[in-house]
Amino acid sequence: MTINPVAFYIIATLIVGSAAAVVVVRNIVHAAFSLIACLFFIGVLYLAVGADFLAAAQILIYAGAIPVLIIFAIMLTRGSMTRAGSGFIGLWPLAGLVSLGVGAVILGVVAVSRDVWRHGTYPQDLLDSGTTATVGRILLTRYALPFEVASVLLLAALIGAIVLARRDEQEAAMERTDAERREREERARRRREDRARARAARPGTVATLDDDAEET
Amino acid sequence: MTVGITHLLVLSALLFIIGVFGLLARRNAIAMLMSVELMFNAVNIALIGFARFGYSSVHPLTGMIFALFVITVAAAEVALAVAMLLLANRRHGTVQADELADLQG
Repeated sequence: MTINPVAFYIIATLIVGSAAAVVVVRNIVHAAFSLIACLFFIGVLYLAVGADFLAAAQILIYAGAIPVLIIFAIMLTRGSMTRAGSGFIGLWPLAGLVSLGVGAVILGVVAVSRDVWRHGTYPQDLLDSGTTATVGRILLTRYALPFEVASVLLLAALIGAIVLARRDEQEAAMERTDAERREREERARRRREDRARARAARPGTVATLDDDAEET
Repeated sequence: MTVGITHLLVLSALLFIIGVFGLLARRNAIAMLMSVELMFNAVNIALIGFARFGYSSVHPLTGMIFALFVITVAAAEVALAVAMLLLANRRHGTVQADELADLQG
């Protein structure tokens, strides 16, 4: 089974175009949606090269779950949606130069080493039946230890994210005392205003706030 | 010309360049996080290319297993990064990377 070159070039153009949009677009919500499109097209590419299980995982996790987290982050951070000004740092031409250099190194390595590795292709039975059964089998036999390590990693990341995102006790206590102080000041201010108004209503007296100084 | 591993590697390199540029040039930390995702996916495309067209003496699908683990690690990384960004936003009121310069002397 060979890959149709026309289909490959269309998918590759879509991937590169939407990836460029992620980086260039100023509005971060548009960038996030462009990222979803890019990751979805990469899943389509996996399907085209015959990696069916990876295509499913890509679309479920990368085009589904991870953008949800990122959009939550956009929603919950102040000002990142309506930020005026350019989205780039002042030195962005330098960043472009560095990335071009990185790209030159990678492409150079690809050009130099293209005849070094041995080319092969899937065994015929994998091409016929799909890769899912084989991936599952070797994931739980030959790669069982990395599989378990990955589950421990996910657990650690979960606990770490909860610990980071939850308010610690000192912070909560500080916010509580802040709120109490604000409430006390508000009460004092209202009392002062009431008294001043009452005094102004009484004829012959001059409304003054001087004798309320002990309250502040 | 049939599509071979070189095509996939060039596509992977292009995606990686775009990711590096975004990571270096964007000011918003969430946009930088999205650029990191692009770089992860560039690596995954290369790994899938090696699994499909390369030759592995261990198992023909080793590249795919690698790509699967990259997806797992990326999910953990995004969860932690989002938690850290929310924390930074609570402490400093911003996620612009050039304003979070507390360690600068």
